[in-house]
Amino acid sequence: MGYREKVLDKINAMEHRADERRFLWQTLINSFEQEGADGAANELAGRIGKVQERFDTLLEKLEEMA
Amino acid sequence: MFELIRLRVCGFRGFVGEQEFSFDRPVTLLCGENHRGKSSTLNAVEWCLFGDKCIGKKTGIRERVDWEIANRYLQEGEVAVTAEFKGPKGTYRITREQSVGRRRAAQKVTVLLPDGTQLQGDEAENMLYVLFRSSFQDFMTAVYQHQEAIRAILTQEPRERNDAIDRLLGLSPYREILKGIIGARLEETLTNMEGRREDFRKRCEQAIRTLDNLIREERGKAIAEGIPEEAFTEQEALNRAAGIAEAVKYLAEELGAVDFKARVPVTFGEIAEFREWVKTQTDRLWAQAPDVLKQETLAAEQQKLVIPKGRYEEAKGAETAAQAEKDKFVGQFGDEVALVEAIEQQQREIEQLDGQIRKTNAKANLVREAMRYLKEVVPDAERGRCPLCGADAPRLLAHLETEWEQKVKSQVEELEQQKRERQSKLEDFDSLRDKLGTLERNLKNARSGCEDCLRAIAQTLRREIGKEEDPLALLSRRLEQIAREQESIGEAISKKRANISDLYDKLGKLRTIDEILVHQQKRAVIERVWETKELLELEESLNEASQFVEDVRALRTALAEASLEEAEGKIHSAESALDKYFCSIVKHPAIPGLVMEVAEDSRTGLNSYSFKSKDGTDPTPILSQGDLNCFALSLFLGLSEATADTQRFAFLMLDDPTQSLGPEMKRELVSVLEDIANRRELIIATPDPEFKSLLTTHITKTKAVYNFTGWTDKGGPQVTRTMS
Repeated sequence: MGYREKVLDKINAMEHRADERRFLWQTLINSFEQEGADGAANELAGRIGKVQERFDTLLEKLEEMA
Repeated sequence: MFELIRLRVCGFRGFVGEQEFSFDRPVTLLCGENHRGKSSTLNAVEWCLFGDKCIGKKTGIRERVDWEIANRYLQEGEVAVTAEFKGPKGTYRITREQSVGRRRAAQKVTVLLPDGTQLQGDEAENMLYVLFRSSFQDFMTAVYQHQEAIRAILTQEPRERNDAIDRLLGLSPYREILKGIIGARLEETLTNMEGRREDFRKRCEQAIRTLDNLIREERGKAIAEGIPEEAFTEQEALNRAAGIAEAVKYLAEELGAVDFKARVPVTFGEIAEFREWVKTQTDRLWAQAPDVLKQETLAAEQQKLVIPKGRYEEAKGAETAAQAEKDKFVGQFGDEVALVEAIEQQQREIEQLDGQIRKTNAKANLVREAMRYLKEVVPDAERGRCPLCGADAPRLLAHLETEWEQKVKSQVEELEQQKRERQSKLEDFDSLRDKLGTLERNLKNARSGCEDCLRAIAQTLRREIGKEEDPLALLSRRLEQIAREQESIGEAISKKRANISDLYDKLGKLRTIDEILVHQQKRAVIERVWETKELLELEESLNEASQFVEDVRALRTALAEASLEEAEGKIHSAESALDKYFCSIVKHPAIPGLVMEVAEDSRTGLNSYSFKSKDGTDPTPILSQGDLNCFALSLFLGLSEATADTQRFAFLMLDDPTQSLGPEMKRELVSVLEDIANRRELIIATPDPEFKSLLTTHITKTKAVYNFTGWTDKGGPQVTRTMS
């Protein structure tokens, strides 16, 4: 059993958000397989970056309101 | 199990033309200096089996980043590697090809099975896994000992050694993904977002507190100014604004503005602008009012008159002073005529004295010459006679000397004294005449200054001033007229100014009410922010980020656990073989045996390895580079042995295994390999002649030796085969 399956087993055993984490794991290993550790880092940073971007826009709007 | 029986390499890394290797002996040695193609031969087997999986950062091998597959001197054609394996049902041929010149070119994989079936693409890749049941990591851990793995473990830096051991154990993907997760700095981003949200909340609270204070202060002030509590409404502010607009209109009429249109705010939002408008309009109306303009004109004229008046008074004073000084001088010393007469009188007297002096001097010269003649020329015997007539003149010289001393000399001196006195008086009179000239010039200048001032006054009054007229009186009369006019206009203006003052007072109160209401509105807006959909969305995005970080944290934990479990399992399965091989090769007198342990680094989640001697001591400080090399080899060989039962590959590949090993260790390694050769086919690459000699003489199995004797960019490796 390779590292993907071993980690997947552990994700499957999780009580919460197993589906979401399985999907995230799949995305993460795809990026890793293509571009190594940097690819994985960029994938994660990009994902949270999108949320942060939305957060920034909203915060800016709220700052203007206040 | 699968034995490697043949390898054909073309265009792969160091290879240019086609080169074939036969692995038809239990042991195959690839010998020769560095950079001759030995490692490329072993790499070719790996690439043939695993393709891109053995390239790039994900391998965890630094040297595999930007790894070149095609020989850099080839311009066109195909890279092709074919490996033939003898398996349970016959010969399996695997070929992997890639175009030269295209770095990320698609690869073509072909698997030819013993029954003649040929598979390609994904089918071929799947078949490779079905046949060998081995990942690249498994292959690297238990089949192919990379020289990079040995090099990496020789470091003294714990983090790098942990990295290298993970690689030896085939755990690089865990480590690399964990590094990727750490490198994404998710926690930092989340903390930053939470911090900014918290800052925003604090700023809002602070703003509300500040506004509360302002409202309280301004209400207090407003009540003190007589504004009732009930005035703090928008409607009241609008009513007041309408009143002010009416007052501005009345003021405009009063100030004589024609066609003035007053402006009245309709909504509360227009009041701030209205206030500005009132101020601007009031200033403009005031500045353009005829009374005000007239007052300004009079003030300007007054200013213009005051200055020449002062100057004229000053010039007139100077003229009077100059006249007085001159009159006093004339009174004391006389006028120009008197002084000229006195000077001429002195000159005449000096001339008379000069005549007398000349006469007296002629007589004196005669007496003086006669005395000199008698003293210096006439002999003593003849001095009693007159030198002119020869008559007896006893005591002539004595008589002349007495005459000179008593009469002539004193007469001359007295005349000269009189002349000096006259000359002195003459100089005094000349000096007085000069002084009088100066006084007259001063007076003339003062009079000229007065005339200049007079002209300036005439210009200011815009009329000619006759000689009989007193300019000061004319100026004073005009100034009095101006003062009367100013007084009259001032009374009218002061009434209007009172109206403006009243207007400003109303405007000030309106501003106070407006500001209080605006602050109240701002406060309400900030309070409403907490109920907006934007804030809800902000919270949602923060929750989403938090959930994402939590999910990644869970993956990180799963990765760390799986990595640790796998490391523990592998170490456990290989530990007896590791100990056996390490002790056999190293024979360290102070290390009776080696125990390897692994734990999770609580900060990073990465595996952290440690060694213990079997007697419980820490061997790290006494491990040499050679010992570490032996440890890496022992771990590889131990893992190979531990996985032997499930291993599909019947061969081991070792690349330059004797880095940093001494002669004794090399001999012991050969003994270990002699033992392994009984169970596994061995393919060993080495640049070390001593190790090659030991292998050829101490390995009892038959051997094929490929000598890599040279390398050229056009021909690639020069390889010869010998049997041993």
